[in-house]
Formats: sequence, C-alpha cells, structure tokens
Amino acid sequence: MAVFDLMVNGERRSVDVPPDMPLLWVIRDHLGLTGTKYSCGIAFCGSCTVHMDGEPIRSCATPVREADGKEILTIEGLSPDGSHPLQKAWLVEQSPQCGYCHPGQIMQAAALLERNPHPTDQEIDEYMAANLCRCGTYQRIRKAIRRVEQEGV
Amino acid sequence: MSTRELTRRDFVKETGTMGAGLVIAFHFPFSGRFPEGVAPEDLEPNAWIRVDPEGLLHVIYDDHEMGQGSSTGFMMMTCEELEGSWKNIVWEPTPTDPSTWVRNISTGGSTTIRLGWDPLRNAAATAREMLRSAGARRWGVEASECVARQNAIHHESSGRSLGYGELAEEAATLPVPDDPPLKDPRDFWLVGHSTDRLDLPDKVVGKTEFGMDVRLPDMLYCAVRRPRQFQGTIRGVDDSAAREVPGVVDVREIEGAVAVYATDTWAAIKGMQALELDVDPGPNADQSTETLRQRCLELIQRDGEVEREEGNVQRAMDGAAQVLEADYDTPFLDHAPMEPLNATAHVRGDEVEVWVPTQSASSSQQLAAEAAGVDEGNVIIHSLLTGGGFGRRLYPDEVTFAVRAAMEKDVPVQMVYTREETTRHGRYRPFTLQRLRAGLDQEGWPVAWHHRIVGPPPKSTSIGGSVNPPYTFPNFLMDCHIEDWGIPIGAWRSVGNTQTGFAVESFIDECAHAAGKDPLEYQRRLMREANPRLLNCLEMAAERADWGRSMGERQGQGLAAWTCFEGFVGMVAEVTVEEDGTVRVDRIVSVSDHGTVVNPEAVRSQFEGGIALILSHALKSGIHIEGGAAVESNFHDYQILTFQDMPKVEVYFVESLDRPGGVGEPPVPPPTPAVCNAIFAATGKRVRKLPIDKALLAAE
Repeated sequence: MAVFDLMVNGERRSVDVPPDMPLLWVIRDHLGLTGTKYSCGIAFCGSCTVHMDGEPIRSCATPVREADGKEILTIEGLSPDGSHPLQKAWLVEQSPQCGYCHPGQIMQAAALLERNPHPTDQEIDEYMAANLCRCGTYQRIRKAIRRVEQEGV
Repeated sequence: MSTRELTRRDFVKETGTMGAGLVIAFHFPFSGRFPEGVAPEDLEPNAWIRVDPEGLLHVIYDDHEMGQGSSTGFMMMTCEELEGSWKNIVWEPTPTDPSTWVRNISTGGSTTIRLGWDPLRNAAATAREMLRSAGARRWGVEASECVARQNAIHHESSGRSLGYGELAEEAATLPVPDDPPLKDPRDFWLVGHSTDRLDLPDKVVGKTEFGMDVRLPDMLYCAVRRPRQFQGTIRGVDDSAAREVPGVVDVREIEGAVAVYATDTWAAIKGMQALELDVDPGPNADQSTETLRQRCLELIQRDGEVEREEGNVQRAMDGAAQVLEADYDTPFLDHAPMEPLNATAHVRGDEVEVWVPTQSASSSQQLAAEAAGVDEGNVIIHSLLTGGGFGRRLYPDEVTFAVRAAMEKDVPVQMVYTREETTRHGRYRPFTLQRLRAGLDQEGWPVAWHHRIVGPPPKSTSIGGSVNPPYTFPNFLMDCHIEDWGIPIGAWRSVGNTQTGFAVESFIDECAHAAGKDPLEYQRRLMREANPRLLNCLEMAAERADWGRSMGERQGQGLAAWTCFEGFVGMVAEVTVEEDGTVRVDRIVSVSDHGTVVNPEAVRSQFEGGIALILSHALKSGIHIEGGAAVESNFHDYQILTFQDMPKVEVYFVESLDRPGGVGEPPVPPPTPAVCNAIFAATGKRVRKLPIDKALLAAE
C-alpha cells in the first residue's frame, strides 16, 4: 500500500492503495465516482476513458502510481451540470442507447476536439476506433461530434 | 395497493382514490395472450395510471429499460391518449416484489409497445373521460361540451379550464365509462413525433445507476471463479496466493464456484485470478467446435422431427429440373453487453435484498429465493437500468452466485463477473448446421423447399423463423434434430431468426442465381402472395438503394427480407471486398413496416443498433469451443464492430396507422444475408459459414 495524491476534477484527493491498482478502481471504488465504467479490463473497449493531464487514457490499464500528482478529469468533472457542448449535442442526437459506454465515448470525443476542433469523418472514426459500443450508436456519436464541430453546441 | 372496484370490463379493472387522485388500474397481458380459460376481467391489475392532485401523471408498469427506449414510448402513449402534458409524466420504478405480481416481470420479445398499445390506450382514455366528466359536473354542463387538452379540461364556450390535478379526486368518484372513445391516430400530437428519451440526460453525465454502480454501507466486493468448462466441477482449491492479495478479506467455496471477497473490485478480481483450482472437466472434456460440427454432419443425414410439411417434397424434388443443396453453419454467439454481469445481494436471516440490472425481475427473484432457500416473497428485487441486455439478462445466473456469496457474510456483497467470466459463461445463441435443398422447375422457380436444422434445445431458439419463410412453395418440409450438448443456450436478440434468416435468405439468393434471375425479381414473385407486406418493404429498400445500379470492381449489392415479432424488414447491403478478402460494408438501406412508429428517432436507433450488433458476427466473431469450454474471453478475441467498420445506415419506415409491431428484434436477421448476397455479387463467392472467412474471398 502507498499514498497517492491525485487532482480529480479539480479536487485534491489522497488514496492509500497498492501502486499497481488501476486508476479505474481507485476512481470507482475508493473515490466513489461511478460514472467511469469497467467493461473489458484490458484497455480494449474504452468504457473507462478519463483524461490524465489532458490526455485520454484507459484507466483500467493505468496503474495509480502513474497518476500520482496528475490532473484527472472524469465524466463527472467534464461540466458541472451537463452543459459541455458534447453532452448537449449527445442529447440533441439522442446518441446513447444503454448508455454504459457513453461516459468513455464522451471523454474520448472531448479529447479529440481539444486537439482537432474540426476533424473529418475519417479522423473521427480513427480517433474513436477503440471506443466500442455494443448497442451500435456510432452513427449518432459521429453526428453529435460533427454538431459540436460545426455549431459549437 | 388498495383499490375500490367499480366495474368489470376488459382491460380497466378498478379505479380508486388511494387518497391520491385518480387511479386507473388495468391488466397488461404477458406475451399478448391471456392464460387459457381466463377472462381478462378475472385478472388482477398489473399496471396503473395515477393522476395526482398536483396534476402529475404517474405510470406504473413492469417492463425493464435496457436502452431500447420503450419506457419513453410507453409514457408517450399514455400522455397522448390521456391528453396530458409531456412535462407532467412521471416514470415510476419497476415493482420490487415480483411474487405479488400477476405476471412474470420480464422484458423480451419486442413486446412492451406492441402489447401495451391496446390496454394502455384504453386505460388512459378511461382516465381522460372521467376527468372530462368531472369537469362537466363542476361547471354543470354536458361532458360533450368539454374538451381534454394539455393536462386540463376546457369548456370552450365559456372559456373556463380546470387542470387535471384539480379534478383528479372528484373524477375518481365517478362511474367508469364502459367504452371510452380512443383517439383517431390522425389526431396524434405526440405519438409518431420524435421525443427525447427520459433516460438519456443522466446517461451523458455519468449519473445513471447501473448495477455495478450500487454502493451500500459496509459493502464487500466479490469476484467468483468457476471452472472454464461448462460441465466442469471444482475438486479442490488452493487459495493461499489469493489470500495474500492486499484488500482480499476472505475466500469461500460456494456451490459451483469459489468466491473472493475484498475491499474493492480490483482486489477481488486479482484474488480470484490467483486461485488455483483443481477442476474435473466433466463429461465433455473433448468437446470442440469441430466435434460438434462432425456430430451435426452425422445427424443432418437423417430424417429429423417434422415441424411442418406440405405436399410431397421428395416427389417434387425427383421431378425437378434441377436440385440445389447447401449447408450453412452458424457459431455460438455471446450477447456481450458492455456492462459485465453483476448483482449485489444482502442476506439478513431469511430476508434477501438484491440489486441487479436485469431483463427479468421475476427470474432474479426466483433464483435468489432458490439460492437462499427462502420464499420468493422474502426477496426484494431492485431492478436497475442495464448496460445492455440483448437477451442475456433474461437468465440472471449472476443473482444465484451473488446470493450464494452474500449468504456467507452479514454485509451486502457486490459480485461481478469479469469480462472473461461474462464471455465464457454466456447463454449463447445456438450453434447450428442447416441444410437447405430446393427443387427448381424448367424456368427456375422452386417446386420444393426443404430446410433441415441441427441445433441445441430449446427448439424454438434453434429453429425460430424457419417454419414459415415468407415465400410460396408448392411443396415444403422443415425438420430438425435437437440435441443437448451441455452448453448453455439463451434467447439472443431475435431468437433463432438470425441464424435461420441467414440460411433462408442466402439460399433463396442462390436459387435466384441458379435460375438466372435477378434476386429482386425472384423474391417478388415468391413473396407476392405469401407476404405482400414484407415485399413492399423489400421493394422500397431496393428503390431507395437504387437496386441494380452499376457498382465498382469487387463491389456488390445484396438484398434480404425477413419478418419476426410483428416487424417486416427489407434491406439492401452494399459491400466492397478488398483484394485480401476483407469485407467492407459500405451502406445498409433498411425499410421496415411495424405499424405506428411511436417514437421515430428511438426506433431508428433500434435499427442502427440491431444492424451493428449482428454485423459484428457476420464480419468478426463467434464463440468457439475447445476442451468443453469457450475459447473466446474478451473483446480482443470476441471482436465487435468499431466506428471504422460501421456502415452508412439509412433507416426508413412505411407510413402506417396500424397497431405497432416489434422493433427491437426485427432489424437483426436481414443484415447478414444481405451482406453475404452482396459479397456474392461482388466476387461470385458464396459465404455459407459465419463469421465470414476473408481468406476464402481473397482475389485469386
């Protein structure tokens, strides 16, 4: 066990956990932020995507020791009230079905637009390619990203 | 719930005040049928509409929301017929004690909207008429002078209005009308108009509570380890390494598994993985996909159990100008919902409380009661929103293990199957071998059709859809061999129809080509009398896709049509087959007819999603068996469609004022055969085994 200091959604949080514990479980089980999801556990599906110092990462495969002292942003911290343009666009396009993978989808899309405010469809597909959705909502996610890209809504 | 009985009639049973406004209780039949010999009026209510004194419209019913959006559709139907105000609708939670319920609380078979339509509209119309009468009485005017609109009754000539909340208590004291008029569908202002889903705002901010998000005081986290083999049993366990894992607090052998308890999920999983199991692999240790296929090949030579026979197929084949025969293979498929299976249980003496994201609160309650050895009435079930279902969550085995694990502890226990456990212990779509034979006359039209299927029980899950294909065949035979291989089988979105639709719609395309005819022409003639509604969908899809237009090198169009669960769907697929055999699905055009489309955008989502779901298994993955166990374990080897694989999907509906049909399952069967038929058009190569083996499609 060891103590790690994280800045999570702008708040300083300390946890005393094994250094190899993936950040996902620190966030979910120790910090009580359950918006970030477990699905594959092998960095293959993207449901656990959060930002670490602005980079989208797979929290299920990122040991907490790598997050020590870093800024972590989760879906709960993306906006105080669901007003992030992507969250609004997601509702306009009625993107989710079961919704389980969508916190990860939104975090990945937010990272995309921060890097590339005007991605082509191909760039969207490439950047989002490792975020899986079993309900098959890809087309609506693409439209929601496109909406923000074009209208900023 | 105490209600006062005022009348006996078909759907609306009772109304009462409950001290809380106007309550309409009604019966919502399971699977669309009332039990044999039981009149609807003899059944207890299982759904309620309550208009409260604040004017809020509460809807209490028992179907589960798993992302299909039917809850919003159900509320829309209520609001429409009641002439309510959409912002006043309150979606109430699923009941927590299914044993008091008059029907199985279970959601599947694309039933919520299509079976809710009549009873719900009738109940809502009853409430609306009682509110109208209450308004008329208050003003001393005829009810016919009053109009219900936007959550209020209006007396147009005097300009007076009273809100539903102000009238609810009084309305509850009035006689229940026998035959409340239903709205003319042409006057619908909500049904048929895309409406934002009620479950989505929480889903985009991470607030939705799925099963794994349940957090209870003193709760322990738990992972269970079972033998990988479906028929395996545990002979012994060495848990010394597991107990060394920081955070692990206990390890217990429970029936059928070893449970590791910890202070967080990670420690529980790590401990579970550190267990050394001594496993007896059971009777099927040599079972593999290959041995199953050999067994199927043996059985398919023999006559099977006849499901439907018309005319004399053998004689017609003997007299046919040509006879075609082809075998189609489909693999087992796991549902692979994004949220792994999980349940949280708290056992306190003979009281059991369970939190589970499920498609069946009733099965969850039964399994929990059985595991704990208590009466069903002692089990409370909290049904949570599910991170995907597709049929898997109709079989809540996770509840059994959660309860068994929780019985060892006096605190709540959250049991999670890892993705690997979820995949390897699924309730799979059946592995089948299907042999199709057709006798064609001189002009190439079929005079005989024979479909034989070998697959596991339950029979309907293996052969569903094959008995009544949408074509006129003068001689028809469908027979089957159903054999239990000890591998768990379950309903997988569209239940049987994905594998039978693949075989039938591919083989009819083979027949068309053997006859030297255009597949659309061929289908048109065979479907014209047998299923004109389906043919209409197919023809519209062909038109929208510009069927028959010239395509590029190694590109092709394919079509398929299928009907199940009262949905009729025609599709055209367009594909490009790369030089190395990689198949790219460029476009799917879907036209469907399922009567009234209650919430068009939500229904469109069901089609986009149903197409993506099954394309994963046309193009990428299946479950294979080796050593009596599943080979695949996670999304790296059980791959699903990605953004880059997603075709352009165009969804159109046939305009209709008919009763709604199903929409969850009908989109799933046609894409695979449409794609495989397009591959044939592009390459001249016929795909008869799934998932598609690209090596067979590489350019020579």
